[in-house]
Amino acid sequence: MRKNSKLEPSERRRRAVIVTMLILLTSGVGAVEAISDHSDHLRSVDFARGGSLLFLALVIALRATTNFRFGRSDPALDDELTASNRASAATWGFWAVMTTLACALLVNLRWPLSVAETVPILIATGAVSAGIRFVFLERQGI
Amino acid sequence: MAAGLGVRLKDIRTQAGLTQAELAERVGVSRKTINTVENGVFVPSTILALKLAEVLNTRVEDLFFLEQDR
Repeated sequence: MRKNSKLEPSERRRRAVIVTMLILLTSGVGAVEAISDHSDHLRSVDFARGGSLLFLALVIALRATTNFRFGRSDPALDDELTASNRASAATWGFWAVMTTLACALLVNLRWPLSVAETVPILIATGAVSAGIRFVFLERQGI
Repeated sequence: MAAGLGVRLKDIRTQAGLTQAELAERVGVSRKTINTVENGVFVPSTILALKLAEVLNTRVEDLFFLEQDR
């Protein structure tokens, strides 16, 4: 059995993406609820929730679809397999956003949706689907 | 007629007495990449194929071949 201290860096990254996705989902639900409850007048706490959602979505989208990182990157970790997985994750994220947008437009015909309600859903859907795809592909190599 | 990529990397790596992690380190990729190439999940680039052949002291054609669907 492998100990946590001997986890491969790529495995640690995969787990980090999963944890970020869970936080993102929780924040997304919270943000949508907050905006839905106070869609007529947004409070500062709603902006804070929406901001945290945007930040987490940005983090997960960058981690899953680009080789962006704050520190120095390890060339062995950012090899061609990871680049291929990122490209696939980005494609999934894009089509998830497009599909959600099309659904939102259809729903809007019957029940009018505000931009404030729709944007968090679009962001969360795109980022989470890209993250799920990336984690799934990375898991194939274990 | 569709052709898939056949892989003999695992056999040749084992004959060379290398683990996946050791080969990955010598080639400069992650162990996952070696694993996915060996399992046929990931088709490597020409550069990586050439690097693998160089490290294993063999030819690319010995590592990879075309599998014809019948």
